[in-house]
Amino acid sequence: MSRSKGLARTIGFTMASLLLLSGCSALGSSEVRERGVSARDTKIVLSNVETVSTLELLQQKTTPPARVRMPDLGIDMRVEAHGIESDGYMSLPESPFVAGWYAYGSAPDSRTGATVIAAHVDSLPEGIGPFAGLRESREGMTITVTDDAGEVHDYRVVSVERIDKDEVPLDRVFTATGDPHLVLVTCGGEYDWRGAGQYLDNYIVTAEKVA
Amino acid sequence: MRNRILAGLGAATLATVGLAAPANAVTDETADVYIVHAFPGATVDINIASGAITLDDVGPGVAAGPGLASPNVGVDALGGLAPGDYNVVITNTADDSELFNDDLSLEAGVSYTVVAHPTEPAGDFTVSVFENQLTTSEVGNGLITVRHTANVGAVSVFSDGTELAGPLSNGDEGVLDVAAATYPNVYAGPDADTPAIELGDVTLPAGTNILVHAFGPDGEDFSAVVFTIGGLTTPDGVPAGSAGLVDEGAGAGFGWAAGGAALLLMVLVAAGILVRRQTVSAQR
Repeated sequence: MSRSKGLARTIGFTMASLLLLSGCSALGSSEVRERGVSARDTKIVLSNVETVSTLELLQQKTTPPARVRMPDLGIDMRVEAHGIESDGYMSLPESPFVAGWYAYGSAPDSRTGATVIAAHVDSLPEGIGPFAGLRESREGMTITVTDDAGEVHDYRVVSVERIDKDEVPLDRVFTATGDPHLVLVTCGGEYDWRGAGQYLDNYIVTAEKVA
Repeated sequence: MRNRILAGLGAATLATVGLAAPANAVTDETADVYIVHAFPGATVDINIASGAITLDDVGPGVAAGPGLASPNVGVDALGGLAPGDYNVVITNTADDSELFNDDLSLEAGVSYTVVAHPTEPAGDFTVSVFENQLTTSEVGNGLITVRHTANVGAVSVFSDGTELAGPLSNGDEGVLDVAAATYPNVYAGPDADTPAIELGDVTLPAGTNILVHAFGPDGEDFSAVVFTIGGLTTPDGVPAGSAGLVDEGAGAGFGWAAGGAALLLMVLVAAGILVRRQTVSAQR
């Protein structure tokens, strides 16, 4: 493969620009979703640090998750790859005892984004599944995902939310950007007996990657 | 209000642990801008909107934009921009000479890539603005975007000798909307027997746009500047439960419907029709 000498040029960051370049916004901790150019200027200096060629992005392969464990809640489940059903919703294993990984999103060894793993909270044939325990998650709990290659990825819970399904920020849950992290999703809250025959809320557990 | 933060941080403060970076998809009201420096030999300073965003000492081969990570450069300020005109000035870092000065017009809902590159055949400094495609025609597809931004004649894109796109001339782009797969031995050249830019085997994940910008000549070599936009395919929701066994509503446990379903299940289990798992922590 021919390589340009120009791409061996170095790129670097000053300490100040590290803050601007991470997901931690220099604009403060308040949620800033809609904005023009920020009131505070963004200045980034790139100089004199070794960089890797971006050509490697053409060959990036990721490894699907195989198992998810959350010892505090007694969760230990096989994970299988899933996509989207014809109705547009995420496809899931029928059994609440098997978890589904959203295969059109990030994997645990991706450079960025959310690895989304979901499971039914219950089913009529099989009863209540392990993800029913997600509502008891607490900040700091450990979640471990083992991938198809046997690699172990550790996460720590940072957020547990119960959100009306109509209000779930799907772009955030399924984001491809940001530090690699894990999002576990199931259903819960009030059950709509008369109407849809489904739960009204999603439980969403977000965990940062620690190893 | 039914929505609750049960533990830890909520959505609004996930930004403080770097987990709520702007979503890759543009919104109806904002635009995203990616910048690619594909002009060999010149380190530049880029000034946007009279200093609102400045990128200094940008070397050839850099791709910068919202949500990008190493080996690209993440610049979240380039995401979620309000529509309008943004003045862009590019100067040569070495001597402050001006290479480019013009307004970039941004429309809401559009994702742009602004590429600094040489013209063909003169090799003059120019800037081309492309719009990034963010949808695939089929779930399970990805996109390979190839942009001719090098000082070289028209090329087509091949995989193992099969033509995939082209011919493309300087300033053109081709977008392949294809199944996620590994495409073997991908290269660009004037014909199938003359590879000018070799990319190797290209692995295209589902729901990802791999954007490839031709680079060169640098000395005698040609290469490419690459970045990716993921998350093109997002579900409409996660329907993860259907039996009502963990209902937390007012009717749970006491309503006729809840009692009725529970009673039915008990009858079915007793009759051996349904086998119920009793333990939450069953392992398989």
